[in-house]
Amino acid sequence: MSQQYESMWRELGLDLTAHDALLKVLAQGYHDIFLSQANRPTGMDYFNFVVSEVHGLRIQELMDAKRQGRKVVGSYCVFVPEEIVLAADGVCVGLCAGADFATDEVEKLLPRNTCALIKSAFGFKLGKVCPYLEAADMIVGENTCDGKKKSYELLGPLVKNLYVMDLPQVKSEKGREVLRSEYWRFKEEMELLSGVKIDAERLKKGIDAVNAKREAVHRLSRLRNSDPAPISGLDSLLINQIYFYDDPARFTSSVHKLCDEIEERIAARNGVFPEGAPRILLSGCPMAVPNWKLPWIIESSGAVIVGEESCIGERGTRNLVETTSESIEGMIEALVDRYFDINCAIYTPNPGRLDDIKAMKSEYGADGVIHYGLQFCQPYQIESIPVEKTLEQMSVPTLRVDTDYSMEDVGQLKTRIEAFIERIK
Amino acid sequence: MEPIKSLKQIKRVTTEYFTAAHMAPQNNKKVVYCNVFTPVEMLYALDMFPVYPENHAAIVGARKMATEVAPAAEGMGYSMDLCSYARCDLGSIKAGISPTWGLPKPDLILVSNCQCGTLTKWFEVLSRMYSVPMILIDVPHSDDGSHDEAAEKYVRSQLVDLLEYLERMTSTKLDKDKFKETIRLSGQASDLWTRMLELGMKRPAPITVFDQFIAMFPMVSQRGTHTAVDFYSELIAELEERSANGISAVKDEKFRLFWDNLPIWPELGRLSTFLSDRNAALVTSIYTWAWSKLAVSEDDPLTDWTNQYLYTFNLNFKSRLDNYVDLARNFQLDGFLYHSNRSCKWISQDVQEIRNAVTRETGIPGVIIEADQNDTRQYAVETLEKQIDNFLDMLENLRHGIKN
Repeated sequence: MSQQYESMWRELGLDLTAHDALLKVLAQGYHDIFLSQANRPTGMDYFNFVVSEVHGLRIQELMDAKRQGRKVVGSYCVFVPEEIVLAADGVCVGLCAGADFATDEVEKLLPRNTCALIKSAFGFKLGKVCPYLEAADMIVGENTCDGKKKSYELLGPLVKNLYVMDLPQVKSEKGREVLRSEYWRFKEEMELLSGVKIDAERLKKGIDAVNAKREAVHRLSRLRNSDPAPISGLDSLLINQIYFYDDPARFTSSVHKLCDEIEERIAARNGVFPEGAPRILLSGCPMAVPNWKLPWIIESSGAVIVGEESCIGERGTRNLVETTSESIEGMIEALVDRYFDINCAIYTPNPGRLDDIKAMKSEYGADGVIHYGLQFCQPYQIESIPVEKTLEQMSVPTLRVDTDYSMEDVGQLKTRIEAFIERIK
Repeated sequence: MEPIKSLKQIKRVTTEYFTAAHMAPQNNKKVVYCNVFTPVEMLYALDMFPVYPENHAAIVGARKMATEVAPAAEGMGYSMDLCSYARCDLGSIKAGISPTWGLPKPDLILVSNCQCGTLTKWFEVLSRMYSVPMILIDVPHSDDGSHDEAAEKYVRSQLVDLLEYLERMTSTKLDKDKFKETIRLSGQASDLWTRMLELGMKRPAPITVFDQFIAMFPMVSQRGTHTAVDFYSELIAELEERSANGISAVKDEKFRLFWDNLPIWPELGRLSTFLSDRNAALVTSIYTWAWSKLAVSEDDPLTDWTNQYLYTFNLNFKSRLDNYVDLARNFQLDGFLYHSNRSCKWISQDVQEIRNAVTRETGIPGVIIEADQNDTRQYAVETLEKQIDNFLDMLENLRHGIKN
């Protein structure tokens, strides 16, 4: 891939040596973690291809889109409504934040005890290795946790166009009003950026495209309640990660094609894990590409992950946007309704998240829950205690894991997870 | 040096406060847990009793009890990476160890997220623990600090709701005269506090930031009462007298320094002596200035509180930088000590960029020391002292034109 795209990466200002090193590690990791899995559905070939071209063909597509006058918008959060970006004829992409990079440089800017996700976002920028970030015409930061709120102030001068979206942190009617006004403001900003007036017809198309994408991953999620598990948690997580990068229509059709195959496999009782394998529900912090450490440890220890209560998972994709309204006001209202239902730990209180975990546990037949907290992520780390306590009171075995992106604790985590799996067997 | 006599009153003031707090239920007063930036004037005017888990945690830290109680919170599952105030307060409840005989059980929990998000999650735990309602005043992040009408409407309407809720809870209608009197007392306390901070501009300074930290308690927990006004009136009179008589806080004041972030409570005494021995005076701190702008108008306090929530506590990078630069000029600073506080993301996240920007703007150097406001397991005080010592050597060299 390197030679073919070198001039494009150079044009984007990437550090080619560092970028090559990153791609090498990524390719090796992908081979070891994903391609080594046995009996994967053939429908995963498409997603293998997407990963192999994640910094190549997909970036080429973004550059082509830019040449056609379309705007690329990068985001770090599931509260950024892709529908509005699409309605302005833009392309929305998730930005890289799933691996340690240029840590020495990052720690000149941020305290060491900053969560790995924020450090990673800065590392990809300072290390000049994220073509998505460099290709973006606008980067949308959102005020969720304290770390992000303050870090966007530091990211602003490093990138060409940072737009910060404020989010309510309480689920009241007044909080909903804040989100509503932020989404109207974002619509105006997108119109300004793109020169496209967003009307009802355009917004409807955007809503339909993202709804279709969500319906596809919902279908995949439902199929994961089968035993034997027809697809691994790792592959499902990968699909949820690609959800943020890929062309929406192509992604949707690829997921449906995969689901067709999975349905056949279910009928034939052809699983990727033996029938009766311990089933785990993951809950907690988001796992951005290429953060695959914990799922890899879990599944290489004999258990299968059957659901992710996570921003990169069901928390991010749950619920569709209601499509009954024909007016722009009604559609924005429908967007607010849908996004205000995301049960992120920035909300206080946040009982809906616990309800979601309980529902997913039962829907996917999970035998236990592993709560994944990123070190220094105060909202999820604090919420992990009531999650654990409530589930254990319901006799649902629960394990809380706090980790980061480094590989230093793999051995320790494996031991803990193997013991947990023994407990739920 | 001769200690400031008025500060000896702090022990009496705190003891009386916590005694009254524990007696509040017997005196038919509702106990409200709140964060330090809360419009407590409403509570006092409605005869409710505000109690501050943050204060409690700070006292735990200052009494060097964090290592006794924080592990209890960690035993409950709270990570050592979380704020040590939260761990000390929750751990103190769990372990039953507290320098204030604990805190009385709350009837209501009132919190805003203008200080940080951890506070809201910590108070949520308390709300569950005591099965009492919690009200969150959600304050949008002020971003570039410019006027934001929607945000103002949002915050103000929550304060209107809060007042109605408190009236319902106490079955009392707010007595407007009492409310105005509380606001007046609160404004007086804030003005006196500001006057005390300004005395640090004098050369030599009659009070250091260490003493200001000790003197904070009435300002934080008793503004709106006569106690705070009386305490600061007496303190200022004494400081002015000391200043007139040429009595400085630090003998032969040589270096005038700034302190950033929260104090390292367990080391107040040690670091105070350490700096004093080196003729270095901490003359100001952005942390103590936070309580200087709390006066609100009697006519429309809700709007003033709204503006405070949005534009005073919730400072963005540029506003903070402007404050540092102003303080450097007004206090004739020689150096900045930046506490990169493991517990406080809100203030520590951009400390390195702040340090660089302040030095760029003022030419005044600064040193970042990594520690924690409460938890002595998170730092080694000897290392901090060594860093500060090296920094003072550097200042000395700069003064003599020697490049480091």
